[in-house]
Amino acid sequence: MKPEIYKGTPAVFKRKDGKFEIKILVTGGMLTPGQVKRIGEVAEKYGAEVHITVRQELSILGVSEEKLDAALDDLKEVGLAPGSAGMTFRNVVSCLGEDYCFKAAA
Amino acid sequence: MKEEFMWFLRDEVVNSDLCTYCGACAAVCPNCRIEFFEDGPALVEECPRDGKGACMDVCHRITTDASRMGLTIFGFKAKPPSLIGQYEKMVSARATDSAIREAGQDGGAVTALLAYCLDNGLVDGVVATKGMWKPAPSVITDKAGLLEAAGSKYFVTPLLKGVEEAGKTVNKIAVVALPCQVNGLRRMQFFEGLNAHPMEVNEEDGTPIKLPAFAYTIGLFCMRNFSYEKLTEFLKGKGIKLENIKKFVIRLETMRLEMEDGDVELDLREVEDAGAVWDGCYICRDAVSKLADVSAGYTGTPKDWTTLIARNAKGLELITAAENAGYIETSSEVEVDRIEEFADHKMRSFDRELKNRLEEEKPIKFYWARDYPGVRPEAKGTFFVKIRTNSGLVNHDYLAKVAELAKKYGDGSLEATTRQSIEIQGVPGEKIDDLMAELYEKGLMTIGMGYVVACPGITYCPEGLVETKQLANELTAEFVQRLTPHKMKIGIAGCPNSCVRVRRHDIGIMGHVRPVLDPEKCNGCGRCTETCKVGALSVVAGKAQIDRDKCVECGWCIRSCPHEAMLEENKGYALWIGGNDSRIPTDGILLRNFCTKEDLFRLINSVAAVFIKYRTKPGRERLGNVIQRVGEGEFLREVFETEEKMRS
Repeated sequence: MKPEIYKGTPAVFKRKDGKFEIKILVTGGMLTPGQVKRIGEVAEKYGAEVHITVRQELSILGVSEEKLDAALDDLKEVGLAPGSAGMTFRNVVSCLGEDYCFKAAA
Repeated sequence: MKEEFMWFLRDEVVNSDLCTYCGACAAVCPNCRIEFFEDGPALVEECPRDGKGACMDVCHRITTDASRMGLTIFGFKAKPPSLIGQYEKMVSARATDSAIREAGQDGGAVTALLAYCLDNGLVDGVVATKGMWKPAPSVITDKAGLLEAAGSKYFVTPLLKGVEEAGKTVNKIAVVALPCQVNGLRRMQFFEGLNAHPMEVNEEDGTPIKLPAFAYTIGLFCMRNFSYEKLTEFLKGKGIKLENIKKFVIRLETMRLEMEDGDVELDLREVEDAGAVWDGCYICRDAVSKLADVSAGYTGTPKDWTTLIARNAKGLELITAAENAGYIETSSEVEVDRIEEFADHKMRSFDRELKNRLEEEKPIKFYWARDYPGVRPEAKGTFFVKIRTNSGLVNHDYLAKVAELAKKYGDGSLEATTRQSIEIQGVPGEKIDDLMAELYEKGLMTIGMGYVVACPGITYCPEGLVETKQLANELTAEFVQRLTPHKMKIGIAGCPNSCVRVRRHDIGIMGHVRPVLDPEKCNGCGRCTETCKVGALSVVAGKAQIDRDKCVECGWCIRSCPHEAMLEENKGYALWIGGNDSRIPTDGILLRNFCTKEDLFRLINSVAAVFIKYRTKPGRERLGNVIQRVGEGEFLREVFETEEKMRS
């Protein structure tokens, strides 16, 4: 019943169609333009789509197993790694807070 | 010497040459503390709020917020900003009545429309500017008054003060207003929806200003407006006898004075250089009254005809009815490109002014940033831009474009939001126009109000039971931006794991499946009891048994049974309503199990209708709070009754 995971990483797991999903760890939803660009490039290179989750992560949907290492390396270059899945503390979700939002109390 | 009292708008708007003299601030002050002087409005006695009350809320030079007002003016059909604004139809028109044609500007079409409104009881008063010299707002209730007020005026007037005046004697009004006055008027009109707090009240009797119903807003084309004192001084200096002027006609580059002894034409630039143009006009972006019901102006039509732009259904209906009743005649001969040129002329002048102000470090309020949907202010004075996704699914092309925009215009950070959009953070106000132009050019869209969020569902997720993304897009198309008494957030989860938190959404939709055992196939192996996460399965007398009280209908037993003995009895969408995790959190309640898509649309419509019926504090009570107040049973009964009516 549990989806098959890749090399012991719960955030890289097999989908119904046999391809893998890479759930990228994004804390508080904050990314740089370079990271977003790279996620797009990885999706294009390996023929995948990207899903923005309700917990502010970006998830790459549909990478075939043999290309996973290459895709993970590409992400690593811009400081992105899979994370936040399974029975662990998950990624921290946060609103923008006082740096940006004028309603914020902290 | 005027005495100076603490007044927010004086510091932020009036003294920064941003004020348009529209009169909205004075109209909504319940204690009548704002008066208009030669150099702008002023607070004439001390305000206990230091002028941070209703006057601040309605000032369109603090924020026009056209994107949000567009939802009310244009309903569902609100479109992104454009040069001449959105419209249903454009015609050229003139009055059929020769007296009106004679008195009015460019064929008197506006005066004729107003006469139609008055004659047919659509309004019982018209607020317009009257008097060529020292024009002042006036409340007109008959044709004689209309004729007297007909013709363009070119001096700044606190027109909207006249709206408050009208509230004392009439109930339903039409207003003839310049673009800036239209914006101020819309902020007064939609006060409740925009601010979500009650209007300031009079200190003695505790009541707010009584405003009449705004039945029709007729907006005029406008390039520049003038200061009465400065223009008359300028004209006197030119040796022009003011009392001989019959009519002013302003064109792109010229000011023509129709005089008793022949016309005089002046170069508009010369008038500008003399400082006769009202200061607040230079930073104006709207030449064509984009937020009016009907816009009217000379541009785009032959001489002695007026272009009428029906911007919404109400405006179109008025023009059609006035024509059918013989008040106006129309032709479809309108040169749209000339109107665009006219509007563009003003935008170019705005761009120059913006540049100057930036160079001179003069204050700018970026009052226009929120005219774009999805652009909202940030704490440090910059803006964020919320870019729409396909319910959370995006491709590489989208990400590349968004990253490029963020790099070019933002502060180097993007936020993936909890509602599945991406926001570019830290965009300076002066870059908003360029960013938005490029964004639209790239085929991206922004979105003001949260759209439907959804997990990947059956298409992608191993645990998904139902389709989610397509449903999300369909619901977005049907419901998003439809006005309700408070925000209505919709979320769809593909299974009872509820990654989208269905019970904490105003409208929560969740895929579920009810298992049923085929006792013939079950050999009592017990695999389902191991996979069930909630302990709903046990093996009794050699067969699996489901405890319906414990079962959450996730479908794990069905997928895990080695013998295909656990079957789907029923599968569909469960609809939960009234959840929210906001200031006063509420848990969602189950409205119905196993809905089809059609059921969902009908039920959500019913819920919205009952929500509207029981609204008492718009913007303060979420759906769940209203359900608690009305009572669950009562609320649900009404929802089902409404649903029955919708079926038949």
